[in-house]
Amino acid sequence: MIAARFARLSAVCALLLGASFAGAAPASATGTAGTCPEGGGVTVVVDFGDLGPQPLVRCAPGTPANGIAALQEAGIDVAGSQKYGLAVACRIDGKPGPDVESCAGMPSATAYWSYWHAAAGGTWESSQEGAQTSKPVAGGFEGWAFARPKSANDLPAPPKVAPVRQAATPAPAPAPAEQGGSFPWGLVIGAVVIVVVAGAGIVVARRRRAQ
Amino acid sequence: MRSRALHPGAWWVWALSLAVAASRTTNPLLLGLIIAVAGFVVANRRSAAPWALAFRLYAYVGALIVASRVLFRILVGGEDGGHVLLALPRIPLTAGLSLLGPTSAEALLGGFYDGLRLATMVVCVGAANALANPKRLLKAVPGALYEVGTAVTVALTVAPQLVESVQRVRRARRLRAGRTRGLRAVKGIVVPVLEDAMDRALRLAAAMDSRGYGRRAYLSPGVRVLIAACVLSGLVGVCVGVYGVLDGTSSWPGVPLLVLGLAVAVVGFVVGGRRVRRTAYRPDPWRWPETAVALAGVGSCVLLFVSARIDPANLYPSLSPLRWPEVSLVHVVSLLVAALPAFVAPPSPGVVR
Repeated sequence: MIAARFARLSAVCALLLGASFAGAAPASATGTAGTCPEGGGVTVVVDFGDLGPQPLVRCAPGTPANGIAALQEAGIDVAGSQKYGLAVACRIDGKPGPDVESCAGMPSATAYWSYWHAAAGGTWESSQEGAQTSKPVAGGFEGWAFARPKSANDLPAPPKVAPVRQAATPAPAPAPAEQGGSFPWGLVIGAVVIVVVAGAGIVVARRRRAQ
Repeated sequence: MRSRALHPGAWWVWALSLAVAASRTTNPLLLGLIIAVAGFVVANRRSAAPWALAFRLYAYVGALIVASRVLFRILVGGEDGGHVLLALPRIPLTAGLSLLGPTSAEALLGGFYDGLRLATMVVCVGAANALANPKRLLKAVPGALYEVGTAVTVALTVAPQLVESVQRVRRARRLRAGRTRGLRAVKGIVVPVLEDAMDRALRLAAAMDSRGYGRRAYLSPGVRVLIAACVLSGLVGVCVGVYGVLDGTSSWPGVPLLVLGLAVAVVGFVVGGRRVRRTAYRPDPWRWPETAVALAGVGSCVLLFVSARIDPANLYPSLSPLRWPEVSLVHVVSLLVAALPAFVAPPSPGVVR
């Protein structure tokens, strides 16, 4: 039991180390670019709004378990918030960057990812459920639009890409996010500095107590 | 450097700046560094007075905060799509609520980061309490805030005095070869400590009364009404102004109301300060070490806020996807500035060198 738990812990550590050595897994490892063919999976549309990049359209094969899984299986990077995990999609494909959104708690009420569903050829409808509990419809469309409402009470706008199947448009593959592609030197430096400062404090305290 | 007690205001400015810096990050390395810096300065510059022994208590409270945050993440956690560390059985309650369930590394680390941030702020307050004499701080409070200051000082000294009291009672029990550990000893310690606290409160009240605390200068009824009206309307203005500033949807003026309310309240407090007439016996001087200590704290906080733009990702390390928390050199250096008081502050009088 304990051995199993230890194995699991070391597996997570190894995964962490591996991730920081090898960088993020290539974003296009799964899924295909462009809309899915008829009955070929769930299409995921990401509209970056005013964040810059062109809208992303990718296909997740089969029927993913939930909205987040659809994003991941379509080969799009999604990052949650520190406090709520993947219950909140805070960054999609690395956007918005850490300079404008810390992703510590809930994202800002006037700059966040809104989540939409649509049937093929239908219209976008705002999701009534969180992305971790909603089940994508087989052959349907999943939309993510970066909402920039003027105030927190305004409704977000749906993705600008219509949920329509297109005949094999060669969409550009998402650029693999470059994150921590090397040994975590920052961790080592931080730990060494803490040990040095704390050690000096303990030595001083011991010496004072001895006097 | 001649040994003397530093102005308590300088230590409080330094410690509160560190606490503000801690509120800007959830990186456990930076938070650990803040705790280490606070501990280093306390170890170097604390006096031998009873209130200076309370730092360890604040550290224990911090540890308790972290442990309870992590435990609550396990208790009400549940599946969040992360890397499962502990596969605990789920206990379903009503309406979609459940206890326990698989606990992921992300949830545990999230609780740890969050708790460590609060614990760091608590440790910063503990450092200020260990370094500064809270009663001397009361002398530096402006007359308008005098009564509030008295209440705050009494509240701040509760924890250090309880620690001192517990230590004294335990020492007395040890001398009589009684139990000092275990559950049975608690009864024998709690009663004398409570009695001690009561006695101390009565002695303090008598001492304050004999020194003329709470006496007020005469003010005409008109002035008193003016003071009350100024303070009340000013504070209402501040409340409404803050609401207007924070609520993005409102169209009515938030900032002007806030400024106006603050101005009216300050006028009220200043006029109200005339009620308190007092003189200071041996006032604490504010010399260059005080300025240096306060500047070290504020400077390190400002540096961290300014340099937040340089490597923003390291202030809030990513948990999904899981990444090692890393520090940037800029952030480490800006926090190390806060360790300067260990060298620039004069040693406290009680220390034998």
